[in-house]
Amino acid sequence: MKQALLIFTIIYPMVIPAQNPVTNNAVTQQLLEYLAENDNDISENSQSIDDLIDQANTPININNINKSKLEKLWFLSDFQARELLDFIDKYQPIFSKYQLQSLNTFTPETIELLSLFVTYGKPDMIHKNYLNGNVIIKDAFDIQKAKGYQTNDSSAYLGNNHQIYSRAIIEYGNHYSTGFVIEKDPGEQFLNKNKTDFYSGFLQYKGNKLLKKVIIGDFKANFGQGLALWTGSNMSKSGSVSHIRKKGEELKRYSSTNETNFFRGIASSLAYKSIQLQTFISTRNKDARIEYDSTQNLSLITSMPQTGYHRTLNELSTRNTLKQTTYGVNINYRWKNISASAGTAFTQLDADSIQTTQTYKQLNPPTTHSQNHWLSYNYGNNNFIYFGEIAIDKDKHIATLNGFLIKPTTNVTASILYRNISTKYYSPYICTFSESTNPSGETGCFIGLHMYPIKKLETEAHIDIFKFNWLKYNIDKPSNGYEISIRSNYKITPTSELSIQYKEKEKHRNLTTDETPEYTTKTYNLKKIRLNISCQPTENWRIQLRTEKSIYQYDPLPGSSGFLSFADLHYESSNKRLSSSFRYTIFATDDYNSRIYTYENDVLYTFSIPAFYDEGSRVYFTGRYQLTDRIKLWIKAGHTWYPNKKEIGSGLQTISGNSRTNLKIQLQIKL
Amino acid sequence: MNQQNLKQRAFFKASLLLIVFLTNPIQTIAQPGFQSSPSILGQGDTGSTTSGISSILSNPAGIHTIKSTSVSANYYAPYMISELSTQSLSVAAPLSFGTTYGSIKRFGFDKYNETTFAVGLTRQIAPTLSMNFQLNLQHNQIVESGNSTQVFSSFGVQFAPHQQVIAAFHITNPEKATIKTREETETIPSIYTLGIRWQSNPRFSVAYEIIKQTNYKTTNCFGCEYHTNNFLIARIGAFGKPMNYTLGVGFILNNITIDACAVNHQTLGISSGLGLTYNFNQKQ
Repeated sequence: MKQALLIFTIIYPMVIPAQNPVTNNAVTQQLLEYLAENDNDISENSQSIDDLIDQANTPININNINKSKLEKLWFLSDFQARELLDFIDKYQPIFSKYQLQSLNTFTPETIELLSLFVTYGKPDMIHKNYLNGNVIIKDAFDIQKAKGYQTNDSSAYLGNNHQIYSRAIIEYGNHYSTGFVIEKDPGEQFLNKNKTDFYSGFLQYKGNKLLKKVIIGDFKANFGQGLALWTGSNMSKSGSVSHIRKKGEELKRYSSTNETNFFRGIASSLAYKSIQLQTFISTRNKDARIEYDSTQNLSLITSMPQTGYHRTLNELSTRNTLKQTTYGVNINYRWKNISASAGTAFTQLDADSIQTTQTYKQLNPPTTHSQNHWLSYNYGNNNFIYFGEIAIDKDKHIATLNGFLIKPTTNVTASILYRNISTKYYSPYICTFSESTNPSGETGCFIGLHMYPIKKLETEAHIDIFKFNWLKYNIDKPSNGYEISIRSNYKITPTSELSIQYKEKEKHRNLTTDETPEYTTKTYNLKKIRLNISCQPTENWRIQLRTEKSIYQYDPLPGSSGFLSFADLHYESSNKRLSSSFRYTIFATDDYNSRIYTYENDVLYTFSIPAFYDEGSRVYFTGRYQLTDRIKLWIKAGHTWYPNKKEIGSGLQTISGNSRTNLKIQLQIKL
Repeated sequence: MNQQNLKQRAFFKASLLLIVFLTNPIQTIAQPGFQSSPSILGQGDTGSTTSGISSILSNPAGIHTIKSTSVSANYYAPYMISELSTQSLSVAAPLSFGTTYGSIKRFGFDKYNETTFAVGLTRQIAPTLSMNFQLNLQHNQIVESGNSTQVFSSFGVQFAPHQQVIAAFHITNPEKATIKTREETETIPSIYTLGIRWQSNPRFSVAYEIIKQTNYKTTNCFGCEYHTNNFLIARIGAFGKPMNYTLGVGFILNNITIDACAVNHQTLGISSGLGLTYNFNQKQ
């Protein structure tokens, strides 16, 4: 449910007028916060959100929907997708969203959410020659200039402190689309030698016959459960009980700003009856630091930065220095309730070897030539789904993942997922359900339960027990741990909701004190409890209050605790042209370990989940105004204040003073 | 005089004795940021969700409930030390576009004192939502250093997610205004309050609140209020760490309400407060 409602916070208030988003807002933010708390880079997941926003801009008729189209709506659980398909099959044409109320797995919020992406009634006439365009221009910057902008030595930032982003996507008819993205991060040069720091583009053709799709340019490829190849998103573990199975389009155009995780080349998808064949080839340059040994004529990769930052001469020297070639093929077969895929991918880096100094990487060091093969499967009906993947690398190390979802009654969903990844298994594009970002050597079992014990009470609980059979980053011995989460949402009235969440995680971490010898690890325990209340007293106003407490224990060192609370007000005018949000947050934590994450509203196509630590307060305001039918303007201004600090940040990012103010302005033009 | 009036008088007398007993040894916290009215301190300083004119000193978003012009005067003396006492005078009037009000609050003594003048407007946006905005002018007088003045704002919201539940928040000085006296710059406290109240019936309510002031640890507040009849209100609560236990009573006499409270700080001792409210033209 959480994932199903994720986009309400981001899309609903911005794209479509809100009707009853209170419940959704309270719930959907939790997924993003969960991802941030589990060290996922949220910015890398923006593509998933971008795709949904694009989908909302071009809704499809529900009577034309099929399984692969439903996969794009990844917020729907497997059971919901199956029940919807059966329902459409039996009762089509569907004329109204109210007909969907008889679906057991759909709550009123899910129906509202789905209605953002579909139209009802008889299938629309297909307009072959329509032109749709969507242009976004954004500028974001801090008022206070960081140290990197004020020094004159060689370590100074080369560009100004503005983040500039521009994106255009144009669709012609149902078959053709093209788009480009240009972006410069703060500190990077803009239009240096007539080109900006990051640019991306694609040309796409979608067909109805044998040739289903061709993409020339930038694209992402997602196969199986992400054990071998999954790009464009970094959602390793969602924590949602009914969304443990990864799904999405196998090949998809890329229009996001993550500078690392995408392909550049040609991708195609062919379909014949129940068989689909996807092929792709990509060649692009990545950031790397390479040392050449002229005596032996060998090149050694010493590091491969993933940040995408090219702000200083040092960072710029690594830009696009390493050629990477990837190609692969995937064949998919669907028959009734069974779906199976098999594929292979080859990746080659234009260097002789990669230096690996970290001990935890010694058993599965990154290689310049890698091969991964996979076999994935999915079988189920309206009451259960069984899915999994087995992947093997070029040295025949194996990774497996198997999951089972069951719906014994209409108000209960249970899930179990087991993963076992060899300590020596290596894939450069692994992104699977796991605790660790690099899941090699991880074994784990996730058990979840989602239910409505009484009509107005939704409860979701899970436990994930994991074991690392080899060292991990900052854990210098094999270790184990667990994660527990219990969340209950009680709908006080149709427009107000109370939510309580308890989470606990226990893992190992290196103990770095002067008294202890090296390689000592100790268990840390992190508990978080959250109380959230949201309410929509009128059609125009929405209010959310939250308070959260975190407790961090790490014997023998002293523990720490943190506290965060915010009050959030959202207003939308009756004619939907104006909407704005105001939030005041206070926080006080003893240290970084007891930090607390919280979701923030932002401009369209952007979302942020900052981590709050130390003592301070933050106030922000966002506003959206629809200037004309085709032009919208967003503004966000935020101010964070730390009473006990004399400077904020570290290194070149240091700001002198105890406050930071950021501004963001964005314009959307629809063609 | 009939029998019922005699009984009422006897009860009033006994209650007044109780007040005197409770208010005699007076002591409490000396933070100007925590100056609430006696009716709120009596219930553990849980003021963000209260209504009526007493809410002016905690969260004026609750003032929308008054039906006629009201005046309130309060006195609060921490730890029996008159130099730390706070006096306040408030007036509120319901108008067609909302409820307007003004207040004067003075803390300190002749050598050092802080006087805050406030004007604000509370508007009921919907039957379950009211908002408030207030402008404050703080004037500090320090004999050795001179005078200083600063303007800052505060903002509050009350809403009812359910007919028996009131939730609220209030923020004072979100802009982090400072006040400068000669070379000395002091930060005016930024106070954030978040509260929730459950009214099991029109007579009894329970409230919980958190208060966070800059550079102070979060204060948890808990309180109950019970209207025994149309005449007497009993209050009890606790807040802070070390714990402050609070007791309070209120007497409603036609248009006049008298409130009293006692706060027992675990270490510092007892403080007390007294308040008087008059409602003009209120129909009984």
